[in-house]
Amino acid sequence: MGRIEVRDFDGDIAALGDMAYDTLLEERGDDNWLDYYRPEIARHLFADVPDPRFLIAAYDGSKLVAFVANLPRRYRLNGQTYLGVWSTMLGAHRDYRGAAVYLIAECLRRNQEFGADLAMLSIERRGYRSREMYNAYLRPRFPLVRVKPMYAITHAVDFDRIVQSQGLKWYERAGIRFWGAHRPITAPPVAGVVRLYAATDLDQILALLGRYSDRNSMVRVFTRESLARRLATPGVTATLVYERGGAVLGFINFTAHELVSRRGRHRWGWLDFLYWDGLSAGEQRALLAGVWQASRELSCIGILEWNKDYYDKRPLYRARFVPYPNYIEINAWVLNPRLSVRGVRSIVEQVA
Amino acid sequence: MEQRNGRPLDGRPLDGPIPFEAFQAMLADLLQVDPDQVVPGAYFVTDLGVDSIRMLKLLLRLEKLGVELRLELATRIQTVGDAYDCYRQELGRLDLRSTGSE
Repeated sequence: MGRIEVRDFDGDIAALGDMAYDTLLEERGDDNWLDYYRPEIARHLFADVPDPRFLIAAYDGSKLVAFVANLPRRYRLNGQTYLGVWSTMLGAHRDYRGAAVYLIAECLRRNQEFGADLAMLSIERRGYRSREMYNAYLRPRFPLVRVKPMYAITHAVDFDRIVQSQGLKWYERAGIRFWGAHRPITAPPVAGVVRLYAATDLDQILALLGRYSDRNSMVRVFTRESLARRLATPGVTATLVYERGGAVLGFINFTAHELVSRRGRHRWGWLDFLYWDGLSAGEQRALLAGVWQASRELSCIGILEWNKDYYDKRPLYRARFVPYPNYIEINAWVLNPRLSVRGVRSIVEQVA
Repeated sequence: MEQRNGRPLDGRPLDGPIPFEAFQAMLADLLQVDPDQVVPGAYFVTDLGVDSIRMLKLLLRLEKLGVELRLELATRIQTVGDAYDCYRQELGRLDLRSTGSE
């Protein structure tokens, strides 16, 4: 044990998963964490990284002891395009927790080096170290701006496994049953069909996403290739489309994430982005029923939606989604003094 | 006596940096470790087991002692000796700067 060397990540995703699992299991106990370190998810997230400088690691000799992904992003706000990063997956081995500070420092240095305008990061509600670091030490000293809080709602796919994985109390189980969030989401008769996304749907989906426009929205700008990957990556993401008369009129994209705790590893379908404006209530429900069925086929125990604030959520409540007791805050570390993210209400996904 | 930028707040003459022994005692108290472990070659993370919160407290304390350490350069502060050297160099730089402006 000695000097910590901060350098580009060597690409050993298995070592990264082991380091994160040991550390988070001890820190979180029965509380879930989102496993971004699962090899399929990590590869998916890293697929857009143009060079190794965006994946930063700390080593003690050859041993990986801490990691942060500083994933490059482009954002558009008020007609201007900005270079950003999404700083995520910060974690340090339990015997090297202080190395996290070196990684934050190195992120900041590299962001300045390649001219980033802002770094986006999410901070959890609960009182883990990362939250204390941000709130007590970093927020008062640096231009860290709260962009928006995100709350989740959920619907069960396998209620018994949710009860076991979340350790639900009797009144929580009773409330979910009373509301009906434990029942399958069934599709009413509709004129169109719900089916899995095919590559030939891409242009129509891009056109639907392009309809989102709101001056209070920030746009995360995708390339066509990266959005196509987000729409369909086997074992990671899937998209259901609603087609009527040969045209794609709506879709829901979701990611199969795994939440991990001492209670085990459980897969959930996370709704990522969707378009269903203009669909009837029955068609929206049919689309949701398709996601429920696809989630079940992927062994998900539930569906989670984090509020994006740019589409109608009433179809979710009509399908008996209930609040999920967690929230995160999206924050921006603003590096460009001419950029203001105050007043941003949502972040939509579009192609340049 | 509380200080700012290496100078006592009451305006009395600057006596120079605090001696290593005082620095050592301050670190031991701040980092909640045995003072005997706080030797120049001790690594904060790997030898003293300093976690991220205490690392940030350390950087803040150095700042209160007059070290204008930019966070992005924090990777340079790995040992007790690094921290003390940084503190001494920074005070020296401040001293030179104030001499030059007089």
